[in-house]
Order: sequence, then structure tokens, then C-alpha cells
Amino acid sequence: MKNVTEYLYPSDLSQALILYAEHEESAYIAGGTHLAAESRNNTKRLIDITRLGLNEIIDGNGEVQVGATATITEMYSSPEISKVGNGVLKKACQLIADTPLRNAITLGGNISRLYTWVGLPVVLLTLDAEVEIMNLHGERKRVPAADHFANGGVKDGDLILKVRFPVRNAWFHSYEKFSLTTADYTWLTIAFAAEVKDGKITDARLAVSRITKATRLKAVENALIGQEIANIDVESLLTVLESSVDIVKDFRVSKEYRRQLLGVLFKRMIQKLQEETK
Amino acid sequence: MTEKIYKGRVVTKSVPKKDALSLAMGKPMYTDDMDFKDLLHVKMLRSPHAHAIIEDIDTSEAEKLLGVVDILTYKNSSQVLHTSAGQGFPEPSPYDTRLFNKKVKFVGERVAAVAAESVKIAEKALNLIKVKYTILEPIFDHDKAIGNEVIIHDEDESKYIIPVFYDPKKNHASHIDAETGDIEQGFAEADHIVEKTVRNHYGQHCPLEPHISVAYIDDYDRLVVRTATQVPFHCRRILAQILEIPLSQIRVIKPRIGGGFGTKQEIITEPIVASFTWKLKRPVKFEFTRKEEFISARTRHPMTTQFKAGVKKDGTITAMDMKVISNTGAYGSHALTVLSNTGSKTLPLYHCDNIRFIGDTVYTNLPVAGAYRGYGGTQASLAMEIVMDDLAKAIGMDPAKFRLMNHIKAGETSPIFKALGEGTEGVEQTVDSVGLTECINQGADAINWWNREEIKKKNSTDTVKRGFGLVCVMQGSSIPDIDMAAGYCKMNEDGTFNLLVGATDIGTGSDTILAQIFAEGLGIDASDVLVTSSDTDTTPFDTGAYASSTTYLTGQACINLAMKVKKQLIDYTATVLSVPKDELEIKNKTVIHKKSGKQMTFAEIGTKSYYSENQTQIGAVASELSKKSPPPFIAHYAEIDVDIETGRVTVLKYVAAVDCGTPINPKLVIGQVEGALVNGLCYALSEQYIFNDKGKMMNPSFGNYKIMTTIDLPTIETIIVPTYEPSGPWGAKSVAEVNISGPMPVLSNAIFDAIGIRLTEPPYTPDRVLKAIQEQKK
Amino acid sequence: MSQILHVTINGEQKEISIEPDELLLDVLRRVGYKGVKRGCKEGACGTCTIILNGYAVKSCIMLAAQAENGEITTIEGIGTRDNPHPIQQAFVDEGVVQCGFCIPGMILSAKNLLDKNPNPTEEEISFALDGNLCRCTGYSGQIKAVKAAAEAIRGEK
Repeated sequence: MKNVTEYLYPSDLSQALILYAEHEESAYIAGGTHLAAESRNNTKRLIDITRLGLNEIIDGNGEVQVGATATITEMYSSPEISKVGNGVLKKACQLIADTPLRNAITLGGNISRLYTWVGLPVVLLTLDAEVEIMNLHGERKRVPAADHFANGGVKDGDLILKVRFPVRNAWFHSYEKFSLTTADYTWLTIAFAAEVKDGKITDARLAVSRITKATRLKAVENALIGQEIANIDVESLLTVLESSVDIVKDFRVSKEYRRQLLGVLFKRMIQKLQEETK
Repeated sequence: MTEKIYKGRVVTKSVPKKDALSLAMGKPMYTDDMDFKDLLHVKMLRSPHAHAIIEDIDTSEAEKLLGVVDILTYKNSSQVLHTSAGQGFPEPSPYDTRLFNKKVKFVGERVAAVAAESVKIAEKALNLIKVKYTILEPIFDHDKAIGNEVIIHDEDESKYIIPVFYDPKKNHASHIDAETGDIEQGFAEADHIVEKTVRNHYGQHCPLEPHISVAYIDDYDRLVVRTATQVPFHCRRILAQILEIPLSQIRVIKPRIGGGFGTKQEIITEPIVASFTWKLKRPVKFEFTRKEEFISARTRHPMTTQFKAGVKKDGTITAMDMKVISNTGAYGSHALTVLSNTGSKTLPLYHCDNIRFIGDTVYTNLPVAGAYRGYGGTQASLAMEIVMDDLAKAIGMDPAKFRLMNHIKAGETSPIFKALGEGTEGVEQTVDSVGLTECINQGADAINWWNREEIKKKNSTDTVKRGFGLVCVMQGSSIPDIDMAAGYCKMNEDGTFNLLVGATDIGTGSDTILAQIFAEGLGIDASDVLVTSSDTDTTPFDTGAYASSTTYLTGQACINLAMKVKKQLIDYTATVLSVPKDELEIKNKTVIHKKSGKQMTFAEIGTKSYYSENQTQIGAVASELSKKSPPPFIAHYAEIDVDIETGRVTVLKYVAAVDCGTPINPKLVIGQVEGALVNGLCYALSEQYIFNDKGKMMNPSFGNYKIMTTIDLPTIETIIVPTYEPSGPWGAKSVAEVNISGPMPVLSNAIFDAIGIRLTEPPYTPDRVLKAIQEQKK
Repeated sequence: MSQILHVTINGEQKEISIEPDELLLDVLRRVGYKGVKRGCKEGACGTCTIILNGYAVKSCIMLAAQAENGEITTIEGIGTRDNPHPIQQAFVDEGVVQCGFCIPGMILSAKNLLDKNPNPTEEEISFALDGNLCRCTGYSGQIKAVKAAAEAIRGEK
């Protein structure tokens, strides 16, 4: 943030958009944990979006809406959030960074850019969440999380307003962050969700990040659908899993290890699913 | 077992640490907490290459930048050859360092320092300095460094100033060998021989406060350096040497320090600010970034330790043979002494007549190693305690029983004490306080050692295996025949005392410990003692905070002080009350003449001695030269789970049983024990330097160099096993270092116990453990 | 372009001239709150922790401008020598202040917890302190100290 020359406080959304549009090198700021530490950045104008009432958490109609500037701590301690996905969203919040950082990091900040180490994108994917975005013209659109991440996060000038999380408590949900120490940047983050009816998997979501950009592994999802809980063919699923991820380099830990880890964590999630649906 | 245990009036009590409340209130007590007018800020340009010659360096553009005041490079700075090691004189480390070199030898070496009106300007200026390098082939593998065609110190001038082996043309920074008994005979007598080669890794001290120094000129035109140092007196001497100015022109002040652990024994930021300030006559500050702390402060010496030992069926150890190659990085800070301590702080632990130690320290183009809590003992304990477990296994004896049988007992000696000193010959000594048997026994009970097979069975699953481990470790207390510490004290008119010590409280609590020791001697309270440490102008000499010496050595100096003052109090009272000296006794801060009922309280003595009767200043100076180095002993136990599918090692419970002689302040003892062992756990499990193939550290940040936080902790139980060390103050020995050396071997032993696989190359990260498991299967 | 930061620090209203790119940590130290420490400047060590609008945050990875109209509590604002905050007192009593550099941040993280949860479990204490590195103590004593402070605040001790 070495180049910042202006820090502005819009009083409402439309003013925020105007301030953004006025200057070529504008950026929105909420928690700021990444922006403040960033030294290779040309941003000159910062627009504070934390005073626009965008941090509400609302329970409604089978979904929980979370405002973009809600902090991870606000989410973690919200009774509404603990209802989502049998607590999977809360668990993901718990494993993000550490307490003083969770007090600053916001939902919007966690999903606006595609940093692979952040914690929430995989649960947005397995919950089929929707990201509500306002563009510079003030137009609102609802983007499915899968599209949001596939498209590379927010576009220039886009402002995330909220995320709609389906509660989806009838599904099985599981989330793991594997890291060296608890507060470390993740080595591998994985979320898994499955719908089971009459002893069979009728729908599934599997998403990973850090080993690759946050993404759903649809080949594995498809292979899961139709399997009987009692007789899941784990070995062949693992083969599909392995071929469906191209693991990126991480200077801390080898691809070979993370390939195996992915298999182990997934296998354990399947086992957990089997135990819980017995 | 030692019979005598000291129960004190002030010592053995957890009196509050003197500075605790002020620190908890956030008072401005550290180096950076004082504001200076017209302060200049330093930023350092560092070498991006592991091995290169600076063909040309052009600072002209940077100098033109508004706000840049001065730039130092090898062209315009002191070229005095010195060692940054911060040791006593003559130093046992090679003089191989200059402030700036034409040849850079590791990624992170100083190239140019900018002093500017603000940090921002100084940072900007760094980008404007143009350096032309000729890149040389580097050498990173310390096992291949000796005699390699790549020569790191080929400039010809580097040397030791003491007569020891040194062959820089072969990258060979030090060599030691020592042998007692007959090693061949010893192995011939053995029924079983175990040999292991272990490799420990790079690790950093990570004091929360980075290195920081501020220099300014005082009203007498002297150079004052306020600095985060463990060694103010050595710092003053080395600054005089580098700047080539009289020592009397320099004052070094140590304020509160935000942790040291060895890295602040190094004189690395001080010469930079001192050089600028002496030249510019302006206050100058230099604070390391966290990145600089990792790449250019100091690290633990990585070593390859080969250890071979023989044992008879009855458990008698017949021979121990240790060969060490130590990597000092690009410069030889503590190259020789860490090496000698790998042997001297481990080999005396177990009975054995036939011992050989061969050690070599080598230069590589990697970050510079230095003093780090444990000081060689940490490295060698890994090899030693793995082999001890394997020896016990070889003869079918329980590892605890094997250690109980073999560990050194009170009244015994080891030939190693004489054979291995600080790079030169050592000092013979018997060990007179050994609580290790009790430590092993009490620790075993605490971890449920004798029921471990049952617990393992009950708690292991197909994928997660339970295991238990045990190790014993020793250290020393001060450097015998070399370390000297001193104190002054003076009585105030209210009967309190000022105690001025050169001893360097870097967060250890030594101000409080020394106040307790002194107070115990005079029958006063710790709160009656006002402690000042350390300032080269106002406090007496002390070697500083290293070698586990302060409690043991400065503590003894404080007892000497108390005894001197006691005599003065009696003499003064005898004169004033006109009674015979030998009929006086001291009780409740009062000198009492029982026969006559006459008495003087300390406050009365204080007031009268100042103002009204036989006026004199009651006070003293006293010192102590260390005569021996009594080892503290510990037994560490760990209960762990190993996940054989992910390789994750989870420590569930950790027990440290500790013999540090008399625990002067039990709560501060526990703090030293647990702080050291958690540091050791992090080093064993998650801390590591990741280098790329160019010798650049890839993870120089707390974000990627992982130390545990509260949520990663196992259950920790500390057991203090008091003994009485006759040569120590009120029976005390050291405690600061020894506990850092337990975790690395104890986890290797516990992992072996859990899954039957021997890990010899920490850290035991999940990926490394899993790899070891899979290699075993092949 | 300099701007004026309107902020309440330890109950005192302040107007501080700041640069828009200045970190909150740097501003607080510049105006005299030296209890806010700088240990890494990357949001990892936690020595710069303060309480902003009721939440413990790391002031080294925040711009000062973010605190506009906010309420800040630093270590200097929670107790005096004669009347230390119960957490400060507990840290002293338990002997868990060693070098002290992490302590202001750790105490404020603890205060942040106890203000919201006066009767925390050990796990909740560990979780609340997980952003504050300490290299001296090994943490266990500090967890005990927070527990003791909670009891004192609840009037049970």
C-alpha cells in the first residue's frame, strides 16, 4: 500500500461506486489484512466499504445471507451460521488464520480474489452458495459460487454485497484444512458434501483448494452419485480423484505428498459419511 | 541422591518478577520505545547471491535522493577483521568478518547500508544502488565442504587469535579431537554395537523483538549505543575494535530486551549504527525486519552427527564414539565452541571409560550459525539419545532402566570435562548434585511409563499409533575458568539496597533471581533490592547472558556481595553501639546485640551512616570467577500419536522432570523449562529453513516458518526435582538451556516406539514422516 | 495527502494527522503508545494487537485510516500500577511475563475474550490467544493466568 494517496469513506453504496469509477487505481477495502501487507500494488485510492451496513447476517427461507463485510469472527459466533451445512461453515471459519485476524478478515475479502490459501471458497462451492455482486453501474447480479471462482473472482469495479448460503442440513458435510500448525497457511483444504437417499448417494459436491485454485472436482462428484453407502468403491473413486486434480507447486511440501494426502483425507470423509449415515 | 535440599526464606519462593507489572502495563522499556530527535533510519541492501564478488557498487543515484544522508559500503567503512560472536577476549571464534565485504558469501550478506531521514526513503534508496556481481559457484552441502574446490574464505587474512586449528583454504573452520581410554578395546568388549548418523536442521531463535540498536552522541561527545544485546560489555569492546576508537568513548546500554536465546549475543546491528553515528554525529536506528532476522541474524548450527556406542549384555556401556560435522554457514561465529560443546555437554552423561570425539566445523554459502540455546548439546543429544534407546533395545532392557543404571551419579566425574573445554582443554570436575534418578522415576510416573504397553494397545487404531519416548539431557552452568561476573551494591538510608549488575536480563528474570539471591544473604526481602542492569558505564563487568551462567555465576557474585556487606553492617553497628563484633547477629533486617538488648535496624544504620554517626557509605563490589560448570539434568517423556496415513505426529502429553539444583524462583524455573521445551517441540516438528537451489531461504517469515501457538500445545507437566549444588548460590545450577534439547530425540524415540521406524532427520513434519514410513515398507 | 484521523484512544478523543498509507501500528507508536509492539509487520506475531471497536486486531496489517471514528484500547489504557487490570495482575502473579514483548498483545487478546465470555474453558482461552506468538513461556502459564483473571473478574478469587 505504498502508493496510496487517498483513503475515502463513502456514505452509501452509490457513492462508493462513484468514488471507485472516478479514479483508475481504486480499490475497495474492508478488513484490509491483505492490502496493508501488500507492497507491490499500485492502488492510489482506497474506498472503505465497512460503514455501508454490508455486514448483516440474515436467516431466511432456507438460506442464510451474509453481508460481504461481516468478519469471520462475526460469522463464527453467529447462531445463524452454525445452522448452515450442519456447522460446516462455522468449522471453516474456525480454521481461518487466528483470532485477531478473524476479527479483521471479512467474507468478501476472503472470496473476492482467488488466493488459494483462503478458507471459505471450498465451502461456498460444496454448499452451492450464491455471490451477490454489484457492478460499477449499480446493477446487481447473483453468481453461483462455481461460476464466481471459475471466472477468477471479482472483476474490476465489482463489489461483493453478500453471499447466500443454502442451509442444506439434510446433506452430509465435511471440511478439512491440513496444515503444519493450526494457524499455518493450509497445505490442502477440502470440503465434501453429499445427499443420501435410501442408502444411496443422490448428489455430491467435492471441492479443494491450495493444491490448485479453489475448484469443484466434478468427475469425482459424478462417480459418487448412485453409489450405495454401504458399498462405496473407494479405490476407483481415488483413481478418479487423482486424475482430476493437477496439483500446483508449493515450495513447502512436495506434490507427491499432497497427492497422497488428498486421497487419505477424501477416503476419511467417505468413511465418516458411511458412519454417519449408518 | 543428594541429601541436602535448600529451603530458603527468599529463594525457593516465587516472588514476582521485578519488571513484570511494568511490562504488563506496556511501559516504554525496550530499545525502540525511546524517541530521538533527528533520528536517522537504516536499511540494508543484502546480497541476492550465495557466493559472488562485487565488481562494482554505485551509490551515486541513491545519494541524490532527498533525505538520504549517508551510505556505507566496503569502500568507505571500517575494514577491521573481527568476529561478531560476542564472546570474551581473546575470542575462540575466527576473525573472518568485516562490516562489508567485496566478496559476499551468503544470500543476505550486508552489501550497503543507507541512513536516511525516514524508513521509506531508506528503502527507496536501496533500489537505486547499483551493484555488479560476478557470481561464483557456491557450496551448500556441509558434508562435502572440506577440501571442496569451491573456497569460501580465500581472501587470506582470516585467522583465529588463539592457537587452534584453522584451515580456511579447505573451508575448515575448526577441528577438535579428544580420546580417553581405549576406544578399540571398548568396542571389542561390547556385545552389541549401535551406530546412527543423524542430521539436524537450520533453525532460528525467533525472539519476538527483532535485533535493534540506536546510537547517539551524548553531552560529553561520547558514543552511546542503546541496544538489544545479551552482551553489553563484549559489545563495547568489539565496537571499539571495529570503529578503532578508544573503548572509553563508548557506552553500551541494555534496556529491556524482547528475548534473545543466543542470537542477541551477536554484534551485528550495533556496528552499523555506531559507524553512522560516530561519523554523522546524529542518532541512528537500525532494526531488523523479520525477514532479516531469519536470513541474516544467526541460526542453529546444522550438523551431521555420527554416533557409535557399544554395550555389554548387562547394560555396561563399553565405548562411545562421536563424529560431528558442523555447518557454520558463511562465517565462523561460535564455530569452535558449539562444536566442542556437542561433545562436552553430552558425553559425560553416561558412564563410559572409552570415549572418542572428533569434530569439524565447515564453512558453506548458507546463513551464518551462532549461539543458540542448547549450544551443540541440542544437536548431539539427538544422536546420543537415539543410540541409547537402541542400545537398551539391543540388550532387551527398558530404556528408563538402562538410563537409571548408566547415568552419572553424584560424586563422579567424566574424563570429558578435562578433555573438552571451550575449544581448548577443559576443567576437571566432579558432579556433586545429580537428581537424574529422581527425574527419571518421577517423570515415568507422571507419563504412566510402566503401563505404556497397555495404553498403547488401548489407544492405537489401524491408522493412528500411540507411542512413548524418554530422553535424558544435561547442560552446564557457566564456562569454568573463563567466565567472570560482578556486582556492586550500596545501602540506602531506608535500609534498602541498590544492586547493580552487568548480568543481562533479556527476559529471563535474572534481575529478580539476583535480587532474591542477594536478599537471602542479607536476610532482607527481594523487594528491598533495587536492581539495575546493564550499562557499561554504571554496572560492573559481566560476561553476559549466555552459557547458562547468570544464576550460577552472577548469583555467586551476589552472595559474595551480601557477605561483604553483612560484615560492614556488623562492623558499623559494633562501632556505633560499642559492642564486640562477634556478639552481634542479624535478624529481621536488624543487627542485634542480644546480651545488652541493643540493636540497630537496617534503616537506622542506613540513615545514621549517611548523616550522623561514623558517616560512611555501606556498600561493596564483588565478583566471581567460575571454577566449574555443574550440569543441570533433565528427563523428558512424551506420549504421542502417529497417523501412519498422513504422517502427522501429534504430541499428547509432555513431561519434563528437571534437576536445576535449588530452584531460586520456582515459577520462573517453570517458565524457563516450558519455554525451552516448547521451542524444542517447534524445532522438532514444524520449524525449518526451506532453501532453493541458489541458497536462498524461501520462507523467511512467521507466515511460513512455523512456531506453535496456544492451540497446538500438548498437555505439559513440569516436575522440579530439587538438589543442592555445593558450588552454586544457595545450591542453584542453571536451567535456561537444557530443556530445549529434549524434544528432538524424545519424539524420535516415541515415533520409533509407535511405529518401529527410526527418524534421524528432523523436523518430523507429516511429509517427512510419511516418506520414512513408505521407505520402510519398500 | 495527509488526513485527520478522528479516533478515541483509551477513552481520550484524538485528532491525529496521518498519511493514508500509514499503518495503524506506526501511527500509534508515533503518538506515544509504545506498548503496541512491532515484531513482524506481517500480521503473524500478534505483538501489535490492540482492541478496535470491541475486537482484538493486529494493528500492523491495518491502515490507520481504517480506524476512523473508532474506539481503540491499547495496553496503556486498561490498568494502572495501583489498579492493574485483573489480567495484568494474573500475568504477574503466575510469573508468565518473561521478556514481555508479546505480553501487551496477549493481554489484549485475553481481554477481548473475557469481555465477551467471562467464564471461558481452557480451549476457548487457547483459541482466543492463538494469534499471539510467545517464544519465552511455552504458553501454558499464560492460559492459566487468563483462567485466574477470569475468576478474579467474576469475583471468585
